[in-house]
Amino acid sequence: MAEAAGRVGRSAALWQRLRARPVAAASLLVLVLLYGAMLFAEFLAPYAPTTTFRHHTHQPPTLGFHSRELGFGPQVQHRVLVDEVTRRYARIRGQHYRVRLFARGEPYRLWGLVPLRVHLFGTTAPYVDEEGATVQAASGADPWLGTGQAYPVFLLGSDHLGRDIFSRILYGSRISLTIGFIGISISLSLAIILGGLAGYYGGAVDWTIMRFAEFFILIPGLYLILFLRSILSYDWDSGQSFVVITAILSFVSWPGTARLIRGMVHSIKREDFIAAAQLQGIPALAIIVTQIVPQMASILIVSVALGIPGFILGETVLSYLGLGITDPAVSWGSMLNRNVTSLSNLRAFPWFLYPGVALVLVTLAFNFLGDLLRDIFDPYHQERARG
Amino acid sequence: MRDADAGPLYDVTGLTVTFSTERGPLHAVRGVDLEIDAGTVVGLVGESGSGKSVTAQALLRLLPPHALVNVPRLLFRGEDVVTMRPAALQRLRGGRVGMIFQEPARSFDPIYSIERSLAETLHTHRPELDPEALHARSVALLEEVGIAEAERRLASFPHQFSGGMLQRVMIAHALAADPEVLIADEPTTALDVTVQAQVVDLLLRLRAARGLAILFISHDLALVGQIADRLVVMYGGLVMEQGPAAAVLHAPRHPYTRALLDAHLPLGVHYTEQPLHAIPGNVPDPLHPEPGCPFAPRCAVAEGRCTRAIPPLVAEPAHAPAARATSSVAAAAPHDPMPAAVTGIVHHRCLLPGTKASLAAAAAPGEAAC
Amino acid sequence: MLTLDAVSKRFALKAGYFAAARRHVYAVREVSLRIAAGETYGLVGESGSGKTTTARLAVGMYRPDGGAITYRDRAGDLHEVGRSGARARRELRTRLAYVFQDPARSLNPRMRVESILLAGLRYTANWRGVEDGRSRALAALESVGLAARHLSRRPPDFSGGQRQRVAIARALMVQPETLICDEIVSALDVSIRSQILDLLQHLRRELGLTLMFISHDLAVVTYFCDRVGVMQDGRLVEEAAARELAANPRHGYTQTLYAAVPKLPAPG
Repeated sequence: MAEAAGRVGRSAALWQRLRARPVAAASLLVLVLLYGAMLFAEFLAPYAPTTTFRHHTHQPPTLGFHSRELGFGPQVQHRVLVDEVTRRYARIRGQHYRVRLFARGEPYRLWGLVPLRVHLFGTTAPYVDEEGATVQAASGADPWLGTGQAYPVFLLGSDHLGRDIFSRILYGSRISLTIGFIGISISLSLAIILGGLAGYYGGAVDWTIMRFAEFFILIPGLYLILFLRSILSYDWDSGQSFVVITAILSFVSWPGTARLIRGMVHSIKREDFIAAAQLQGIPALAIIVTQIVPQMASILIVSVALGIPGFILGETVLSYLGLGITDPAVSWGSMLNRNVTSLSNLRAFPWFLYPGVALVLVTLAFNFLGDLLRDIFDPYHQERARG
Repeated sequence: MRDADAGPLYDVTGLTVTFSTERGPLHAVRGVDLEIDAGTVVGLVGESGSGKSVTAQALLRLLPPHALVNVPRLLFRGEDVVTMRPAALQRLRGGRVGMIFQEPARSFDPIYSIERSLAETLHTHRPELDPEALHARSVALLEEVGIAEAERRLASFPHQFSGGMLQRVMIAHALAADPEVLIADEPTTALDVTVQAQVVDLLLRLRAARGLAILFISHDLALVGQIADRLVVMYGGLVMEQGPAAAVLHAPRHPYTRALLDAHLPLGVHYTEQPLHAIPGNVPDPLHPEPGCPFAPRCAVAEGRCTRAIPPLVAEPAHAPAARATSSVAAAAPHDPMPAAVTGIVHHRCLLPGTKASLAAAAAPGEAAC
Repeated sequence: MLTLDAVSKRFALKAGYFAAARRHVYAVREVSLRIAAGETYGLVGESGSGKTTTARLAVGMYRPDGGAITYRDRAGDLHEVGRSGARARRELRTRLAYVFQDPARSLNPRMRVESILLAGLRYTANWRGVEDGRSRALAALESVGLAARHLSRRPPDFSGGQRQRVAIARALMVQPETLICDEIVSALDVSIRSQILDLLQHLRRELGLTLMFISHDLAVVTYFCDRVGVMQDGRLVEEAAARELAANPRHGYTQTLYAAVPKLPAPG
């Protein structure tokens, strides 16, 4: 009972601190929303990441809210390409299409299982080609069945192939947001095992592992990443390269954490309860994993929160350099790689930078949240419950 | 100059301290009255969580910000400590009131020599002293606390001292500004018994030589009994009993004091001859204080009303212990200071009339009074 | 029967990388003592006297640098403590158990009592599966005066006395013959100390335990033990039956210790 009260007290305290730190609270909200969106990408995104609208490349965000014809409400206005070189579009007066919530659209399988056709939003109007001719088999029929497409709505614009940037950000988050967790868990496991063994045994084991770790710390991370990526073959599908990138990033990032863990294990192993465990004959690895690591849980949580952005950015860097995720797979880094190829390009089509905005948002959110967690778990600020 | 004022040095009424913790409010001190007269040794006895150390820290406003302190009266020589300006408070702390703690090693900066840290303390309170005078004063202080070869030891660093020696240095620090009161918070708990005896002797000598008032805080009733003129017994954030030391030790009015005395193992008893007087139950949890007497759940003579409301402190004249022969505990030590007659007032917090009689009955196994 | 025969233990002083010779300090010097089965043997001394090192040598936590420690179990088998290999250590573990001074430090604050109790048993010859382990944990907990509902709690949820009970229960999990108690009441409140001493006395009678009881408190040791050894600077300077030692301390150091113990005046 006392324990339950303690847990309630702790979550209440967390709530209190969140209220005192609105930035951290907002960060938590942003992350919850983004990860939630990642889970429901197929439903939230109006189009598949590979769906191209050939006649709608380089389009700015097209969602509008008012027109004389349709009155107020979400809608898109028909646009026609007027300059092939600058990719400038002209809006066609009087041609508006309503954007509906829960519109039927491209068929998909939610989580690869549930076959659905409903998306959060979309138009049900037929696709219109370059000349303004309605491409439609029969009036009133389902446009997706006729031509395979409905008139597109681009919340955040479209890219050079006429793909919806909003949809691609959602799908891309599946790589960009998970690579952090997977990467940090690999690197943390390495760090816990190697740092734990070094701190626990000390002596020659400690010396060997720590010199090994320092070797990696000495080499500038980016060059090591590039080196590793370049000696590995290119001919991988996106799944394989995802695994390889994660492995490379983890491999580069474990030594720092390992040093931290080694130091902590070194001090925790002097505790009486470790001596008690040794006396009971519990094997070293079992002591490290079941007795020592839980002591560091709070520090590990903080290092996870602060470490994730590093992985996300690492993937972005690799993908931006063309060494990471490549088409048809999509990540935020690969989107930047494809689109932000020159400064003039960026000036002409600033909406290509939206994946970068998402990236900054996530990175900042993890940092603010990590700061909050650090403050909560900081041993110097922790109040003793018992005097 | 010091004896000009007739009133007590410290006069505290109704001190309460509550800590806000992640598990809820922690009621550390729940209404403590305390007086320290010039030149007397007040012993503050209590177990863990009794609030004794918190009380001491409150006297100098040393509590952390998350402590909620409420005290209608906290006077030092008639000055209100609560409203004291920072400069005056600084003069009070480590100046007019010296303080020593349980672990002297933690109070010293390991990279400062004894001379440097002592000179720094001296300089803060006596800025007029030049380096030579500082040195002379430091030597004199170390000699006063019984450190041999004071000149040479001044150049040493804290780690070169044993625990007992370091505690002496700490006392020298506390004496640097010629304090009127010394607050000693478990000053001997981390020390060996033989060293403890030396430190206690030193404190008593200083009291005699300087007319120093001492607030001696300890969990060890026997130790405090040796040094204190007045005893304050705390439990669960409340004063259970206070009065002249001899009166409290010889004729305890409160069952808790009595239980503490019984729990003390005198030298020479053996398990084959005498069972232990174990007090059942646990020390109170300051997060969930009892509505009534904090000792009631463990008390052998508690009645229903003991658990309903906190019993008030009752004043009674201390009476001389008459019947020494009926002592239930083994023979007293030879140097036991048995006073001819104890005068003064004992304050205690037990509702039960004739507690002594009912306790005597309860002490006999199997004959609980109620 | 636990026998220490001229046992010494030294520790290396911290020396720099380039220190030519390592300096050592002797924590225990040629200590010989014998604890008979069923006996309670007390070891008293001040800090640095080597009593804790002796206790840790006796349980095999340290290896002696000189002398020999042997343990003859109830079945009559002789074990060498401290120098034995993995299998022998495993066997000894079910015979000798150790209780630390401060339960707040010797119990992992993040583990539930149940895991604390079961963690060690798993690696002994007495392990008969989780079900059996659980029932043993409950039995051990009940034998120290705690209940089944305490199994799911963690050490911070207990008071100091209860924590020490858990620590004792952990030691009892392997059903040892001998319990080595290192200052187990020193960190406890006066009003709790008697409870733990009572419990230990009760367990001793109930389980026929042999006890090695280490304390700096002369009154506790002479009360609680049958025989007492006094240690000073790593040596055993006096050894006598507890009542005799209390009545008539012979060694000068023991007398000094006696004089220093604070005494209470007798209540009227």
